[in-house]
Amino acid sequence: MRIALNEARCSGCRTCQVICSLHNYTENNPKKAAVKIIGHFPSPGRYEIKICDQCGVCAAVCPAEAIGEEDGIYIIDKEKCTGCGECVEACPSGAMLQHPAEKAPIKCVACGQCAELCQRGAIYDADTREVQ
Amino acid sequence: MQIKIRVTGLLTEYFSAGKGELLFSLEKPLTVEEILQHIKLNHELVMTVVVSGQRRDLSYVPQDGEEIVLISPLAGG
Amino acid sequence: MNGYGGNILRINLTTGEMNIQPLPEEMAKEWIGQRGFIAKTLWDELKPGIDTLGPENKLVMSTGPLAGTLVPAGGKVSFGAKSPATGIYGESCMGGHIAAEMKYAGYDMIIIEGAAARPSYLYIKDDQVEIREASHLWGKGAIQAEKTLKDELGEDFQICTIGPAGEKLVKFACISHDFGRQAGRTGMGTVMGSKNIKAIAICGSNSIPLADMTAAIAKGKEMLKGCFAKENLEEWQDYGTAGVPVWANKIGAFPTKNFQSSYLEGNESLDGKIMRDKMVVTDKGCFGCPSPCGKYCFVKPYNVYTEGPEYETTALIGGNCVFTDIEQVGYLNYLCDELGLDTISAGNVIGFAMECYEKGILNQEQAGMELKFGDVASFKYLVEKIAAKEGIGSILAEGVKYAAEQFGGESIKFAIQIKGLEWSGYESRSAPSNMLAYMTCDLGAHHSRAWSVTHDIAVGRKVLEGKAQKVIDLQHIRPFFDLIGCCRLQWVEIGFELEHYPEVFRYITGFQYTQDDLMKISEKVWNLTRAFAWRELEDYGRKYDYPPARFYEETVTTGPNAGDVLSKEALEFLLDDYYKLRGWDQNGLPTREKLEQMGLEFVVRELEAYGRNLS
Ligand code: SF4
Ligand code: SF4
Repeated sequence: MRIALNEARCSGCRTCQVICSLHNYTENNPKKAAVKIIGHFPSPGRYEIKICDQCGVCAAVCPAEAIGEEDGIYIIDKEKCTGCGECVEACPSGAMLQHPAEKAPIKCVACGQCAELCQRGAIYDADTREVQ
Repeated sequence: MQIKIRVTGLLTEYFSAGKGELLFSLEKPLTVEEILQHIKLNHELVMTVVVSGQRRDLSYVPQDGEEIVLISPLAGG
Repeated sequence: MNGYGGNILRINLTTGEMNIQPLPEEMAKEWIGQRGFIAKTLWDELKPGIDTLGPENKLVMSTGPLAGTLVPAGGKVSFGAKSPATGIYGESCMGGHIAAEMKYAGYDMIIIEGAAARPSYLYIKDDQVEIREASHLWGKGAIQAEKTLKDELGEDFQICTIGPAGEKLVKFACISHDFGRQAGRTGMGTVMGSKNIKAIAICGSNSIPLADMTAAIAKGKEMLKGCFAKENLEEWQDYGTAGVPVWANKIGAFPTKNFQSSYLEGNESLDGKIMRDKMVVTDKGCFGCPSPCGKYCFVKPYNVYTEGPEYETTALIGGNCVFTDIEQVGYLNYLCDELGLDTISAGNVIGFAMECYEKGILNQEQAGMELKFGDVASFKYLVEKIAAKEGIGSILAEGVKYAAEQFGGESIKFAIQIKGLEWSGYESRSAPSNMLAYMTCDLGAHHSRAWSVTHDIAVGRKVLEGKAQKVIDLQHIRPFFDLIGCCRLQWVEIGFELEHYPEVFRYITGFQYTQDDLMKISEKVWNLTRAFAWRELEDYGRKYDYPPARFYEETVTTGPNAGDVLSKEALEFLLDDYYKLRGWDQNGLPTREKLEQMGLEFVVRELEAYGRNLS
């Protein structure tokens, strides 16, 4: 699973967010999704998708060493995480976020659920699908 | 020659075959409009004809083995 | 409560009081949500005879149990109030993202009462609710105001606004959201303006509880993928409703020249394909939508951005005011959107004024300039005058019926409205069932409750028998989507099957309803809103259900249906049949028996208390 983007195709439906929260938090709550959709309206009229590209900066800055890597995917250990938010600050993609009800930040684990339900191919799995 | 006709949406209700799909054999090439006459489907119920992903109109003559999708009129905003 | 935001938020703008009450389970079970909640609330809480623009009127915003979930297109919210356009039950539905957001904030319904002393906006962040100062937004265009607030509050807020027309209390002002989605009909923006509320901004961070999480996810995925697999999805996404104008014209249903005709010469250039090539910059969908119909446009010659024009706008601004240049329609659409006017009513009112001018009912002095069909300057002039309520605009701002009463002459015959609400996009002299759908729509001349042009074509345009039953069935199915918080276009347009909904409804709410049960509830709401109108207007009934005389006295002027007219006798037949099948009396009023059968005993009691004679 290699998550890739084709932002021009995004229609802003946020289905990706709903399934992300359902899958990773067993909650119907897009505010707990690790993907963010930002609309740029009225001009120039496009959507921006913010999602982690597994660059690892978060792991490097985490003072609690709570973020580990496995097969190229960075995962937060919720036990170790102190909720300090350093990683959120440092993330160059602006793809991590904090929710008032969660101590650990919300971060993409590359489960691929969003890509499965993105009808538009705006988020897709570059391992199985050609660039759109 | 044979073509496959598929209908969508509210059209299925008025499709004499009673379901969404129909195989249609023809001896000579016919336009979509003529084919519709044969299957007794009012062409006014068809908004768009799509053949292999291409938008066509009622004067299009389908080739052997092609699948034509008939798109029913929509219902406004 | 599973599937629901769980609370009702009530805000009194006069006193500044607010309270949050849990949503009663009875209410959810009995009325499902959205339009059901609105109808019940307005029935219970509005005294008949109140001024629609006074503080006694209430603006109710509500969504349904499937909104904000994984169910396809759960992004619809409705606004309801006693309508300033019609004086009866008013309601308008809108997509975008605010329906889901209000549920995440914990609300299924927001009831706005009283009126604020100063221009204000509502700030709602979960249970933190504030009435905030909005003088910096007042006077701004609807889209501009949304942008300003979004910049202030952040991307996580979903915002709806009104434009200058709503502030000025134009009778067909809309509520706008997500930079191009509108609750356009029955003057809901007018009511919001009368309360001095420029905007409602909502941000929610909570979860929606689901009765059966695993099944809801599996079914949600199945439904989405079912939509993805529809053959016509691609066509639909490329053009949205903009694919319709050419077809509507070919079959002679395209409103033209203030409904003189149903066929517009040159209409091919309004086609979705041309629109896509010339103006579309992105496809834009509502929350959870697998088939985004929004075509977001940049209109180059005018240097403006606008969402749409969708079918209705193209029909009423394009056809009805005779514009065949899609970029001109795009520009005029933009003007209406910023001013905060419903494009359907605006296109009617302006087409009407143009015809009055052509016929000499209005002269240059009264109009303020020469008015011509197909003239961008005329349209722009009128729409701005209307929004500002200046000159001729102050009359037109009251709607086409009022304007005709002022202008006099024969103009009432071609004031295209029913119950005071202007006609939406289908000329129906050659489509009796669709005519009946307009005649009996509880809101006035609107297609949202039933649309059946295809049925007329399929079973015969001249046939009258059986048409009423079709209309009734549709009047239960289509507005059913306005109970659950979902868009109906997946069902209507891409042919997604209805059967999925009761099943997913169970997984989400835990309520064990069959399709029939749900349709019964839809019918109950239908009877309630009819009763609402009767409670308001003592003489309510049959005489409110006729279309303007143009449709039964004048023939269609051009096109495939030239010469068609729907006679008064045909209309009587349709109404008789319809009332009978509905279990209403000959005057079109619900009978005691029908109301009791629907479980509406409280309606019977109330109507009697107001001296209505039930048969
Ligand atoms: S599911 Fe796809 S189209 Fe929808 S918001 Fe997410 S990225 Fe955009
Ligand atoms: S079909 Fe259109 S109106 Fe319906 S949910 Fe999708 S984008 Fe919104």
